[in-house]
Amino acid sequence: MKRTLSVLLLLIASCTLAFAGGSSEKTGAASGATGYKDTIIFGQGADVTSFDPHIGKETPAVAVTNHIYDTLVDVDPVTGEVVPQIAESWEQLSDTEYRFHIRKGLKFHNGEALTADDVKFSLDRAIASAAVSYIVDFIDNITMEDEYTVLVTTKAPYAPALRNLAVPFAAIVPKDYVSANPDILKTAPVGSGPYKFVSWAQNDNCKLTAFDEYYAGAPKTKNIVMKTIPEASQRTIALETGEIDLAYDLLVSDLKRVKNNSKLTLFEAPSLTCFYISMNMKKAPFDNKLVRQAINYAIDRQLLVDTVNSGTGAPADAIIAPAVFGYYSPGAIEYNPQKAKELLGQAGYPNGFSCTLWVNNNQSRVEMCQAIQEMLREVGITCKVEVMEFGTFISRTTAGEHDMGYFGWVTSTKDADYTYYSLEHSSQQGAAGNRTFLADPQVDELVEIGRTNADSAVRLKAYKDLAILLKDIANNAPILYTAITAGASSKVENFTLDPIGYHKLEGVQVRN
Amino acid sequence: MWKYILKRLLMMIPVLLGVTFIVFFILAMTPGDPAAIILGDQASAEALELKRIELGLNDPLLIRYFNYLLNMIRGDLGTSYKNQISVAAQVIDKFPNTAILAVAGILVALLIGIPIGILSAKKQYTALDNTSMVLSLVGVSMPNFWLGLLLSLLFALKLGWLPSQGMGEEFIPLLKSLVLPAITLGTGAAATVVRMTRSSLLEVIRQDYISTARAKGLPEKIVTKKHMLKNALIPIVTAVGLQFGQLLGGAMLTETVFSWPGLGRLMVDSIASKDIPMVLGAVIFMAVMFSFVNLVVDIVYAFIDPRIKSQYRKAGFTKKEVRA
Repeated sequence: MKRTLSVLLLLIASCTLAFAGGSSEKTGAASGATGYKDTIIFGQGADVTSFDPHIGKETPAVAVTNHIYDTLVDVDPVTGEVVPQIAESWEQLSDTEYRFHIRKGLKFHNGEALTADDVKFSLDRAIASAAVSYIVDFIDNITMEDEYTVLVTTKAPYAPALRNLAVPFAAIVPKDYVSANPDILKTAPVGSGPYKFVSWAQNDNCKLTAFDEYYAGAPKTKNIVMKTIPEASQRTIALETGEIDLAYDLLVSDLKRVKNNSKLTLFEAPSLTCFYISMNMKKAPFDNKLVRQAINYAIDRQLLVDTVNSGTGAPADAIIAPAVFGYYSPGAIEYNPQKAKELLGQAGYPNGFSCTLWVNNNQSRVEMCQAIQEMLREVGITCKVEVMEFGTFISRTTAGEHDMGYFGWVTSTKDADYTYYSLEHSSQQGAAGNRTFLADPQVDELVEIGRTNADSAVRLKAYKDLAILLKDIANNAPILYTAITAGASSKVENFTLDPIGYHKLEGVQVRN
Repeated sequence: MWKYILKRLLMMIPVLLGVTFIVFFILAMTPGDPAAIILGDQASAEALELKRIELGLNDPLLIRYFNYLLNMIRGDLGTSYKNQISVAAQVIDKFPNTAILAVAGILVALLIGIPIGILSAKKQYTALDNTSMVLSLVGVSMPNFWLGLLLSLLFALKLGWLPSQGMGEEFIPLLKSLVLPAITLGTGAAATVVRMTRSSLLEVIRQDYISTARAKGLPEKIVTKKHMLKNALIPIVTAVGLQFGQLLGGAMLTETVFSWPGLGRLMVDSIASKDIPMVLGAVIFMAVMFSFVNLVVDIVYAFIDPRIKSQYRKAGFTKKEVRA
């Protein structure tokens, strides 16, 4: 017995000694003379769902695939302007026609040349994909004019066309490669982006390596490794130990820890997500503007951000976030319970009324609704929070059975039309997104000006008028904009946050 | 013996039928439209309907269940809703990772559990016994994810000895990345093993044949090893087998905390994204593993206890038993 025990102890001791040499798996190997590492390792909470850009549209998937694929055009993350990518230039021939000139000499990672044929094939494929077609279904048809020229015709005048084509789901893929096996991109992606796919170990990691023939020059760091670390606090620990250089989507309670650590940098910016309450205008008393305004005045948004949201994000003053093209602040929505009571009195409800607020079964959303419930109680409105499964929530609010519903919306094209058309236009009632059932000719007109006019100045003016008008109509009560966060080692250079979470790393470097 | 094994393998069929039936119906009853899960919120109504037809979701539940069974017999567990990759391929891909962790975890449990269990039985009611009993209570009660986080805070963050998460790709990094999850998993299991070893030994320790062995003048080491432990082994093997069966099905919490790419993680992700075929496939695989480990445990009994071996022999050859 004693001998067994001592052998055991010896074994444990030797193992400990062997391991005590320090964890060798620190981030990327040094690339010698340059002073920078040759690998960036980033950690995120979920794995890639599909490497096929016309299927995998979830943020963790796109955070990887947008390094592999390019789109016709891109949106500059700093200026917000549409900039060339696969198309080196374009012209708008009429309200519904765009001609794109494809860059010559572009290659896919497998060596095939990228031509107009691939562009037509890819956009047709995206339109046919039930998962992502909503981004490109404004297109009526795509014609190849010659090997490097494509004519895109839209079904109707559609001003945000270029921004939609910049969404990663409109990626350009190699026709011959995909035609030979339509499922191949799910696991063996080939694109024309700055990085080539190397390997994927499901639920563990994905590796990419620089595409030296990239049209804009090879990326600054040779390799990218994405690690899936589902537990948010472990992502922070891995960042602290130096196992990863970047950690996406940090836990709210870890933000302070990252901020206070001199070896780390915290990146935080408002996202493109707005949470809001939709009031069903088909039902009394929400058909009364004064009631809707009273509810808006009764909610202390700053308090919600500071408490329920632990200080992250920002109070919302419109239904689209500040980083979206077409955002205009009609002024912060004042928290004024006294005014809310007065408005309720004027509307004929001096003693308030009873109603329900529906929300899907997501803990943080439910907590938010419970806090709002208390704020409404202060002004005399007895509001019952009803929690339901997401599918039920969507189908019942689509049918207009709700009094009020708590929703979140991401303006994924970064263009105001995406949100205003879906949530406010009378043609979009129900499933398409307008769950306040607003049908206001003036609103429709402004939305249509923004949607169809090619002149940015005209569009911005329409969206400004629309924001002011919607604040008065108060069909939706915008609550807050969420924040997007990332932690980085302080050795990371040139990293910028993307407001959706599609952070691009081709210009990022990590000092040794 | 072989007949017995064959009989046990055949008995796995009704077990699997039961498991698939229950899981299939529970999952079918959970709210949420799989078509909407696959295509996302923004998909059009027509696209959703087409997807439902493609998936056969408009068929009656029983028809869907029988179709599923037919495909299962052919080895086709369906395709994941989330990434549209074959379920069987994903399960087989993740199983080795889980197996490595399970073996390491059970080794930790045995290395800690058996010696401490023996010591505390032999020194019953001493300080050592009481301490080990309290520690094993703590071990059983401590949530895995919490212990996991504490271990990585200490060994990864403070001391920098071991990686905080992930699975190393080469041998040494793999061993290093295995240490913390294996300890996390093993501690819980070790606590059970300690208590089982102790109580089982205590029953044997008072038997007459132990006194006889000692009276014969056998050294205490031989008494413990040959006379006590061998006779006390059956309940211990049962407990260890059950623990191992569970671990082989994937340790959901530990694998999530340590980003270990195993079956447990696959299961958690599939549940979170309502990936029904994936959940079903993983559950069926777990049931097979569990039944299989149980069978192995029963066979091991025969090697430990000759009386059981002879029973198996009888059972294998009796006509009545075979018919059953």
